Amino acid sequence: MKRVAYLMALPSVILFFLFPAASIYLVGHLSLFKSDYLNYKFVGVLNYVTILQDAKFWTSVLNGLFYCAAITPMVVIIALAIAFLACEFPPKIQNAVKFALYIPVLTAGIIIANVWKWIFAPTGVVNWLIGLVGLGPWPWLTEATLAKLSISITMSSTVFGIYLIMILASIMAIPKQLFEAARIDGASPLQIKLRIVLPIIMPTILLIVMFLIIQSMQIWEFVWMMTSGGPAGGSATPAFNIYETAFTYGQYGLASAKSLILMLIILLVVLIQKRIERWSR
Amino acid sequence: MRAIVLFALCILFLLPLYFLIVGSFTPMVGIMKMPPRFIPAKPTLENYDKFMQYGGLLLRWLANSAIATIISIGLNIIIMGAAAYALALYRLKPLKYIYFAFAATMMVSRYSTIIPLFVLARIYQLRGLVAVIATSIFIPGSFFLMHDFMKKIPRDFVDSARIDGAGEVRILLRIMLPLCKPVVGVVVAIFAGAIYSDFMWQRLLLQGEEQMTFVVGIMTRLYILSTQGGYIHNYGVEMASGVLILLPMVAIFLWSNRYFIGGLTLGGIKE
Repeated sequence: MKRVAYLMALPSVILFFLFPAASIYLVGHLSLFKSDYLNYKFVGVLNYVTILQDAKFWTSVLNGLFYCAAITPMVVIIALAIAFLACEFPPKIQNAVKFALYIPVLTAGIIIANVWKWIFAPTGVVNWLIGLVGLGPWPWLTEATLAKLSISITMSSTVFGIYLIMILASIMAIPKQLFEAARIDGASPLQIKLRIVLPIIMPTILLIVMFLIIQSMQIWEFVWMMTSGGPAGGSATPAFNIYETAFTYGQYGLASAKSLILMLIILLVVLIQKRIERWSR
Repeated sequence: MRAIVLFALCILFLLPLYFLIVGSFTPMVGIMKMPPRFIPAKPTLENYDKFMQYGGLLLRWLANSAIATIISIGLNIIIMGAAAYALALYRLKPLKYIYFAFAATMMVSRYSTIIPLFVLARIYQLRGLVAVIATSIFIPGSFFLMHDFMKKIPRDFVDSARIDGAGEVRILLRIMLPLCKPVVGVVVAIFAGAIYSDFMWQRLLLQGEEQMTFVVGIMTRLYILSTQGGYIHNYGVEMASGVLILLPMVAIFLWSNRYFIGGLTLGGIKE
């Protein structure tokens, strides 16, 4: 019986060592080499020194933070609002809402990017809308800050559905008696939401913030399709910068060193989140 | 009133997809006319013709995508499912390490491992579709979904079957597998679409036109079109490419739809 269990787990363990484990080892190994496509030369920590002076990479890290700062409030506030709105409806309607808002999540980013590029085009929908109130046209995809904002909006619209579902699920998990008791004590619906529901679902929101930071650092499709990282790397994320370094310029070694730094940044975010979670309990 | 607001918000989020479809049928001259139209003024198929010229190759790409997606997700369910089963049913100490090891890989950013993974594919001499399949099987998320689900199946089912003298294989095939249908549906719903549409990774591995998957093929075609002479940024063609890529996803979605709503609470995360 024991043998059966080990035998069943074996293929996945082999795969684990062949791919994820091997690639984590290899990323560290490669980061010590200078490479021009596939000619490697050992250079020690030189790649890391190069990165310190690589302004484009650090811009991309800052861009990642910008994306996070723009996307997180947008997603959390709208998701909370819709969840509060939806939680009073019967489950059937809730499911329909979840379903509708999950469709953009399932749709591949490269598909979504095509239509948002048109929305943010120089003579596109957004410029037409702001034109109605006498503003614009603004260069939504060709100016660094606006480009980041456009990509943030696009990204928000696609990840939004998952987080709505997470928030709604944690609201529905709150025992109904709690609301009853509060209502009897004379709390208004708004008070109940802000004073009772919000603190209870705070751990979920923290988790969402963590996911969003991680996702912001790794936006790729929208950057690739909408701005190609431009202008001058002004909308690139660390993920995009790594991809470009490796597969446009062939510097696998340098890109591996950047990968390791990205890995550490994300690990740090996870650890901080875990610490806050434990502390808030 | 609240119902109207809720409904309007849902519509708002679906509007881009609607405009994608409308735009794909709009001729080049009309697409930039504002306000945007909800029904194309002069519906046309000219945007799709740009891709349809490829005819046979298009079918080839579609077949490649089907092969890559079905084999990857199938092997994923068998291999990761077996591990999840072993962990959930036989609570053996050494198997615990698998749980932690797989959890650790989930914390590693995908973009941190594309370079070593690309180099590994060369070291292992994997090429084309085989490389796509081999690198798409290991999905820790699917392991955790299945493990969580199997853990909750009451052990009495298994114990009583054992007392009745059923072998381990019989227990797996006759009892556990039918019970696990819903979670398998969810895994397919969440990850099949992700494998199918993984343009970022597949474009690195698939070079020859014959080998390309649907998404890589369409995107490459789009790139060629955009660099051809006299071709100015044509949003209609881009949106048509989006709709074409979307169609197989709709098929996956419709198939797994029945498992889906239950699964939404089971696994909130796509990646």
